[in-house]
Amino acid sequence: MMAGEKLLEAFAYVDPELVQDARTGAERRNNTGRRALMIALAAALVLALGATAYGYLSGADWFKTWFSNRDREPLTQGQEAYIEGAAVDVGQSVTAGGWTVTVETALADQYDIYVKTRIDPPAGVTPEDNCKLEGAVVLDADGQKIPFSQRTESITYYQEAGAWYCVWSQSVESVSGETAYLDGRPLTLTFDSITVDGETVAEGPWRFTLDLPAGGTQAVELLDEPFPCKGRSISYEDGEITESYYDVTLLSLEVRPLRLRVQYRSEKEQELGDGLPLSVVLKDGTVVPTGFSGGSFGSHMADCRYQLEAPVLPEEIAYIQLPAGYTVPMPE
Amino acid sequence: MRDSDIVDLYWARDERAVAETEAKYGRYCLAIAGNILADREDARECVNDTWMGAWNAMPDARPNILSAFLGKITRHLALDRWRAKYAAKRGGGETPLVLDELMDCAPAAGGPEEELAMRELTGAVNDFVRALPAVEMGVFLRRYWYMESVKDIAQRLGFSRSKVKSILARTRKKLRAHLEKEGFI
Repeated sequence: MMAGEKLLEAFAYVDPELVQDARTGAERRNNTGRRALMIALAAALVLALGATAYGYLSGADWFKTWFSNRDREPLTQGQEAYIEGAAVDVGQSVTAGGWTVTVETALADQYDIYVKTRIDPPAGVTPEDNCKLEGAVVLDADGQKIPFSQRTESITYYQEAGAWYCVWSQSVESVSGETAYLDGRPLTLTFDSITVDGETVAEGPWRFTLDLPAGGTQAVELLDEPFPCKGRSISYEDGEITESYYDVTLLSLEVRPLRLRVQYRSEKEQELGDGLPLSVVLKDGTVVPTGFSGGSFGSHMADCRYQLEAPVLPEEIAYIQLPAGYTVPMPE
Repeated sequence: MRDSDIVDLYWARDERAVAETEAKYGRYCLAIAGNILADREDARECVNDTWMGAWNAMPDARPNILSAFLGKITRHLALDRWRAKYAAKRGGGETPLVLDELMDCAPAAGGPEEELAMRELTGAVNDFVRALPAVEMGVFLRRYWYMESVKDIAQRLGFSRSKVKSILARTRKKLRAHLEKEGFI
């Protein structure tokens, strides 16, 4: 047996509870936290409203909890205020092939959207794992399909109380890519099919028309001239992580509440995208991480999107942290 | 059917146990075998062998967590099949990638005390995994227990692929340090 195989064999004897947690645990732990927070929020709402029977958790409260769990940091007042202004309860349901998809709540800035959907199987069906919505198609207000190159999406699934939930986010710029897509105009979102563990169990379409407020926050450009800095390259050799840096020139760095967009030139072509990890540092010292979520690439050029792990208000930002200690401050 | 009822069927030597297990955990085990082998037919055979393994293991065993019990059998069978069929040509699923990743923190193979060392190694690995923060533990076990691809882990947890890779690299580095401290490397 090779040395690596020996270690792989040893993993087989990891505590079964931990193994089970790994399958459902990240979600379950979050759900546990989320449930506790939801209960607390719901209870607070009941008290605030003087209700006697039950509380109602709004889309804004749900998103506050979700982002807080995702970022593992308490949200600032500005972040909470942004979510309260941008999140809407939708409550549209479509049933096809016995499967009901409900868009429960959504949140958008002028370029990006988060949609929380619930997937309810037909009576008597309990999908155990990997229940997914497939073939998401977004049409702009003129009915044009937003091309793949202008879409960057991330999807999180979790299971709770017999139903599957999907939190889906996507860049929704207009076809031209120049103007904000969401500007009080309806967005059409269509899912084609539902799969369980890769096999199609129902064909749609499940189509939703969403008319969302754009959040009222414009993108802010941080650069008025090219900004030379460093990209980061990581190599793993002999069990050691080695970091090295190479020249990068930022051409544009645009901050939006849900996402950063960065256009840059790099001397190292193969590191485009992944090689420029960014984080947003707020004035109170809170660090909001970002994840590279896609972009378009040319020869030594990149136009990349980085999804923020929680929304930010531009006025709360102190600076953007780049590799090798470089920072780009927010303009006054 | 509840897991405890399925286990009761095994203990009663009732053949419905296999059908109920397949209905409830067939796809789960198929996903594990598929990650390791990347050949649907081979994966299906491993899953069928898993039911036989479970039938033979019970009633001696009474698993508390049936999914992990079955997954462990599937994983073992799939790795055996991978060794027999693909190891020489480094093909098949995520396995060669996972082995490459683990090479840096793997203890030396062989030796007369291998069985004893293996038992100690499993204990050290268990201690290490148990002490990991929740997110790192989830990502680490999805990669090295369930052998999921980086892409699938990223999608499942809502992270970018680079973030998953970075978590894995950091965790492997910690594992190497832990195994060095415990005298395995």
